[in-house]
Amino acid sequence: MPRWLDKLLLRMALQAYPPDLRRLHAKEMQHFLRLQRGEERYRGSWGSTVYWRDVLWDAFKIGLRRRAAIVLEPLTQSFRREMSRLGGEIMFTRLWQDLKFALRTLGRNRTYALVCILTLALGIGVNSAIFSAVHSILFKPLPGEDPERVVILFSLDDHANFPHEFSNAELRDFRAQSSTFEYLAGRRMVTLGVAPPGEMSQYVAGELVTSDFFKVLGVEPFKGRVFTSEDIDRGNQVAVISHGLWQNQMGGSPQVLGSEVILNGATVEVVGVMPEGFMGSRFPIRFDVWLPISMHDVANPRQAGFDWRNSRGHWLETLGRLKPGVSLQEARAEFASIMRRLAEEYPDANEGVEALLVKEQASRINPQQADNVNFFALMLLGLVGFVLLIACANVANLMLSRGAARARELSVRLAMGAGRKGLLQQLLTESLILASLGGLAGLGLGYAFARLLQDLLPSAFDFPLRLDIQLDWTVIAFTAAISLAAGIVFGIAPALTASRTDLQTVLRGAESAAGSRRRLTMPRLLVVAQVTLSVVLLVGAGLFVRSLQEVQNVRTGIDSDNLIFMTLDLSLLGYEAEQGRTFFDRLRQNLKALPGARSVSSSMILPLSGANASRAIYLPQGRPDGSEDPYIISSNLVGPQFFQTVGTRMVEGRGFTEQDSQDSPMVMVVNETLARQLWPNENPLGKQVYLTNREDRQPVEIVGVAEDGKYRTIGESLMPFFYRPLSQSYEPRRTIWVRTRAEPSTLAEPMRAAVRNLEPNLPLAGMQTIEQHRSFFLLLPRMGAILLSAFAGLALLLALIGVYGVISYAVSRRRREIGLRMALGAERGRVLRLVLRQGLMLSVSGLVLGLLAAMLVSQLFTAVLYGVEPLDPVSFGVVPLLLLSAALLACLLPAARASRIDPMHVLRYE
Amino acid sequence: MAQRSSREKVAKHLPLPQSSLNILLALAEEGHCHGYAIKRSVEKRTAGEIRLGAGTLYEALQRLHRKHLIFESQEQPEDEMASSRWRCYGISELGRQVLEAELKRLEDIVRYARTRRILAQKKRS
Repeated sequence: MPRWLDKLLLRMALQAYPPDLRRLHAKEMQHFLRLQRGEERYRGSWGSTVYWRDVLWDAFKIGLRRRAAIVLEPLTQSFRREMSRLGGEIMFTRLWQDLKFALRTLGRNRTYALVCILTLALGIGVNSAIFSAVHSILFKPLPGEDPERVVILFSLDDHANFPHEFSNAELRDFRAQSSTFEYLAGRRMVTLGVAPPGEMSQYVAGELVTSDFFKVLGVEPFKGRVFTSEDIDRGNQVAVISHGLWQNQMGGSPQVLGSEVILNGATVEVVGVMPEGFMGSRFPIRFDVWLPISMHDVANPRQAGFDWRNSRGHWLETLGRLKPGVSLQEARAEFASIMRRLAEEYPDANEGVEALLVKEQASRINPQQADNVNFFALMLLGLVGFVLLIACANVANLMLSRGAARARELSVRLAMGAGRKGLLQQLLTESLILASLGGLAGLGLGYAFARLLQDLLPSAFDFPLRLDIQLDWTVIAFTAAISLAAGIVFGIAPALTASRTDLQTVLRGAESAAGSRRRLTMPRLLVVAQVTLSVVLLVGAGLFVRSLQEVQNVRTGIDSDNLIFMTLDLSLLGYEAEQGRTFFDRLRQNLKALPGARSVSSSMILPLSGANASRAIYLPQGRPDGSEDPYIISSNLVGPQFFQTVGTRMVEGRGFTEQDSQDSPMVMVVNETLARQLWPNENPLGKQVYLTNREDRQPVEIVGVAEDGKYRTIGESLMPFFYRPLSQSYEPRRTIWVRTRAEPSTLAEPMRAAVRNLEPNLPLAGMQTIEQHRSFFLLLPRMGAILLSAFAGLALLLALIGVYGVISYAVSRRRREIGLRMALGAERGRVLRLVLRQGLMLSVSGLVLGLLAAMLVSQLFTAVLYGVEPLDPVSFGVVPLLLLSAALLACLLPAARASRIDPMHVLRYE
Repeated sequence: MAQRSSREKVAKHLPLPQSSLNILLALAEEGHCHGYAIKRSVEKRTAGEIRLGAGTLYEALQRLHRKHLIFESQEQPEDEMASSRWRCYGISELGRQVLEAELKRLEDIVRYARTRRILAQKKRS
């Protein structure tokens, strides 16, 4: 953080402290804060953020406490007096009366009530949605008994800056030496192909766990049992499955216990089913299968033969359940000494390794920043909290404007002897009713928002996410709390203003225009700010929508008509290279024989999935600048007829064929950009490169040039790329492509059957048509466009309601003045223009500020925009038109009302 | 009689808010201290569990001063951070009595919890 910013913030923080404290101790406090800034815990990349959080929180806390004391002390005292004087019964009768009266008043002004409720519902709904998402990911406790006793243990060492795992051997040492944990266990995430015998395997996320794993979490199985140490000692082939897997894949059969499933090709006995809702121990992934650690080789075939029992390499995540009454601090202290002992005993593996113990909930984002999880969540909620504040400001404005219209009613009631406190209570009851109705609608809206958020998340991942958004009590309580707070926030100012009505002036009808103008400054500024904000969001939304249009038309090098693919991984079944080649060759023959298939090919990497493999290329003569360094170029391994199948055009030369085999000369296809880069102004065909710089290296000949395309992401710029044949470099995980004659999805089932005929236990991932894949790689641009448009629309709506509120308020305040003007000969059209001009002034100031801000903000989007300039003339041109016409509409209603003022009617009260 | 009224004077300040208790403890332990030194002492004693912010600290100091539990001292302690900017504070006689009474109160609670086995008996580890 730059020094000037630090200084500025320091000065601002001091301003936040109560004045008397500042007066007495300003210098000391400044010095104090400066010394504090230098403390150890505020160093490092997050240091200044954490420091400012602490300082501002301290200032806020103290400031709030002081101010609350000033306001609340007299209030609570008078409340107590009131209670003792009136007794409960009378209080409630009065509350009931207020309630009835408020409902009647609101019923008479349905439009007003509806606008208020809708505004609040939008603000509350967004908050409720974000809260339920944040809550479900960050704060929802693990299922099981006393989840706050679950601690995750990470190792920290000099080699890796981030916290990582321990080993089974260390876990054994921990169990022997620790007295603070009731249970300690290990877990490791694995990918598994699972199916009942004879059915097609599916990818699921699984956990490889030690026997105490479920005891650490404090969960019991729904059916059957969990693992015992005997399972591990004997190497039993057993599994515990999730409730969901049991219900969906195994048909919920009551004889599930003892039944067999095929897991990565091995036959495994199901011994337990976990209760519904148990999704494993790690957010945000949903797990479906748990295996004892002794099944390491089955679950993790790529590392088969690894000495999981005794190796001290760090691969196993460790978690434990604290003994009752033991604090995290005590456990941390104990582990500090355990780690010291281990470092002496095993200097090779444990020298410089420390243990980091973090409560499970705090480990979900970044264990090293465990203290900051709440902070981040609060920041996110604070951001959406602004939307609610804007909504509150709007409703407050609306109420002010109505309060002005009701001034006469209120003064009459005052004159008839109603107490000011009674009026205040009456008005507050009204706003609380509005807030409750708004909250109720907001809850529903929030649920809809949250579901939308959930559906927008990709289903294209290999693993299901556990973003389970439910309307649980926490969310309902949160929504109720913010509704109540909103009701007080927007209700108190108008109620105070209204109840402070000066009897004499109002009854005489002699409020001056100057007075009303002064009172309007705050709402006006607010409205300008709202318009500014919505302009920024509108421009952002415009940019994203335009970018989405551009991206959809981009040439990817994939012809998307009638193309379908699936991904399979033979290493899950432990296939050797030779077996694998035979399998893929036979699969290719079988697929080709399908009636609807035009051509078939395969590739190692699925383009536009974000995946990448880079390789070194050496030129025989080295680089032009004379250095020996290789070019590092992204690449893919592909099968015969790949270019033809996928639809990539060959610019020169040929693609790969069956003749390119292990025994034939090594070949390569480059794209146009790479050809230009390596051999500018030369024909690349027939040129040779090397893939290593070893002595026995073999030349690789360029046989073709393919058109440029998109490889990793849709938004990337032109990049050099090359292809090599899969036949000359074996790869067990491949994407199989089929170009079809008709609708591609009709081939999905025959393709599955073709795999099942060859190898029933092989799980398939991502059987998709290229159109479905498009929706995956267009997800980010599309999400950006949808979310920003939604937010911008919301902001615009709120801003318009704001403009409407302020203008109607102004009109109701100026009734007399307008009446006078009309009596003196002003025409209706003139009055209309007068009011419209006032509204447009507000909107135009907001618009200008907003456009300036948008110019700055849009620069930040450069990286995520595709094919659109940050200062895109279309977006910047359409937004002002849209905003101004909408603002005009918002002002038209009050303006029309003003022009219909009957001068006689108004002036008669003089 | 005089003793009784002084006891009442002490009792009026009980129970002490957490920050006040910590500040009085620090002053009783370290003698005359300036604000930042008090913060450091509290942090050290509680192993970082309690971190007093500037506002919390000075507000509490102001309150304690108003109640005459601490006084502003003219002495400047020998300290690497000593500076004329700092005001130094010391614990007053009344402050010391209040602190003792508060600690006694806490001790009674702890002892009660022990005898009723709500809290485990002290063990030597």
